[in-house]
Amino acid sequence: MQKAEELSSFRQIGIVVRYELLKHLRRKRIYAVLIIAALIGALQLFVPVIYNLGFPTQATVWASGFFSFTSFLVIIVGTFFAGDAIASEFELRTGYVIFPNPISRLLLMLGKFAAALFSALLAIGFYYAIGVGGLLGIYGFVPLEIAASFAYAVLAICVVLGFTFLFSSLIRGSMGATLLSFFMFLLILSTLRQVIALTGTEPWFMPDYPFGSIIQVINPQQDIVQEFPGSPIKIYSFYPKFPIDFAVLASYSVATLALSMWVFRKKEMA
Amino acid sequence: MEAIVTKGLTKYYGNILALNELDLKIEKGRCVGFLGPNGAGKTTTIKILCNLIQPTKGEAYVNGHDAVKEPAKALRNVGAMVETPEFYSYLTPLEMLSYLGRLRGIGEADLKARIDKVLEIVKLSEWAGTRIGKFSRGMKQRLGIAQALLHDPPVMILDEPSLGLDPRGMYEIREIIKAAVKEGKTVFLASHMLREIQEVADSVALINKGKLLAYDRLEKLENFFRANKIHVQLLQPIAQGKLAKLEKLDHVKAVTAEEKCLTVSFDGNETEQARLLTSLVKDLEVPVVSFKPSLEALEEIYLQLIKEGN
Repeated sequence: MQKAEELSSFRQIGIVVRYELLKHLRRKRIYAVLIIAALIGALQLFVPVIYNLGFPTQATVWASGFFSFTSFLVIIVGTFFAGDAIASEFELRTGYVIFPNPISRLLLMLGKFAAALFSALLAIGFYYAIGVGGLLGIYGFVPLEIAASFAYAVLAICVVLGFTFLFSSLIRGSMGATLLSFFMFLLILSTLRQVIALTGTEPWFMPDYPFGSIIQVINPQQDIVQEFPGSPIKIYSFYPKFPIDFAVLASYSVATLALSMWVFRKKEMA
Repeated sequence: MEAIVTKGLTKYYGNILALNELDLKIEKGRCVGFLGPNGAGKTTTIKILCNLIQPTKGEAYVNGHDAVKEPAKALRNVGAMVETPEFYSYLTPLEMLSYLGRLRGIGEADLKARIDKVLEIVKLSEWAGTRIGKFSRGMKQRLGIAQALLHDPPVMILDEPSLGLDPRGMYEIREIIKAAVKEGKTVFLASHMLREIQEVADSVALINKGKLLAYDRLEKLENFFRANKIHVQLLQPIAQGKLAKLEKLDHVKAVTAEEKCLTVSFDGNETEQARLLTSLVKDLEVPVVSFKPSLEALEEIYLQLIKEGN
């Protein structure tokens, strides 16, 4: 046998990505999220036609409605592809075979992250493709803002993946990591955001607040304060703003991924 | 030059001391059996060497590289199997070994041939295309050996490689390890199975409660503890007169006779063993069918050391 070649980090990451993608394909998770994306898209396209409800006159109004489901999809696909990425190596004991190989845990995680990101992008990209098809079919053109919306969706995926990877590194069970991340984004953070907003403070620092930019960039809204005469109660409606939204998403993505790597490197296969 | 070195290797799990200042040097080309009861620290040592856990203090080197600070370099030329291996259930052995081979930088031209060869060695060729999720524990154990052999490593670290295998499987694994040793590979073999160690290892490291109790060549340990026993199978029961003469031979400490079997407690080396056999056959004219050192020797050393250690 010829002497084994010393691989570059990039090639090692590429190998991990390839086999992680094979995992997502074999376990049919990619198909599952594609079906979910297709169902949500189809419902929004065909229900108004079937019930003769008609479409808004402005393309951006229709698009903001259609893409308002993106945040929900981002949470589903993010937790779906990342929940077991690290935890399963410990839970199912496959780490005993993988870790004693000449690849650092840092590269292993980067490969797993890249594969999860690619898989999630595939699903979100598919949803955007349906939306773009709808825009072309209904209005005959695609507003440029859709590209910006997609860019925000990609950043939102990175945030969800970052947190899910962190939980997957911290928790031994894949299911626990998946559920924790899913409910954190779906219930806990949104509840906290609403409570903070009630005090009149814009929750710009919350990790999921800038997810709103996915539709805000298509159909911008202004912050609103609703006051009731004779009552001290005020209801605040805040909307994320550029560039803070971008910076918050990028910061949470990098910070959670870096923290996940640190935890994963320290975690013992005991 | 040493293939594996540990210096003051210590590991605590919470307040529990699992490994206590372990100093070990394994020369290249040696097969060292790592023996100890459950919880002795065998797997902990192997896990540190294989980048699975971090030591509380101390150092571990594999092929001259620090296994803690530069694990990728240290593990580059190591084939390891730790505990009962688990693989990605959605892959086939062919895919799993391709993944691991590619991670190790084995060229595509060599990879297929190596995979075929190691699958043949562990007798899994006909299962090459079956998903591992359908495999029994024994088959996974075989696949574990296959992945450890895949890159033809000069150093092998094996933790209970025969665990979960049937007697034939155990025999086959022992033969694979023997062949690796013959090829000049360094083998560090943790096992509960004294027979396995006695058959394949040339040296033994005995560990208990995280502390190294003894580490030497097998025959030296046997001589040191004077624990040699020789089983002699005879064609017919030995006469009392001859038995008395046998007991008086050099290095014979005691003899027990049972029907056509003799068990000789003996404290001599291999040359003296040969002399004993000659005396039995020529001088005492005892019809010997078989003459073999007992496998109980290591067991006695093991139990004696563990008892002393406690």
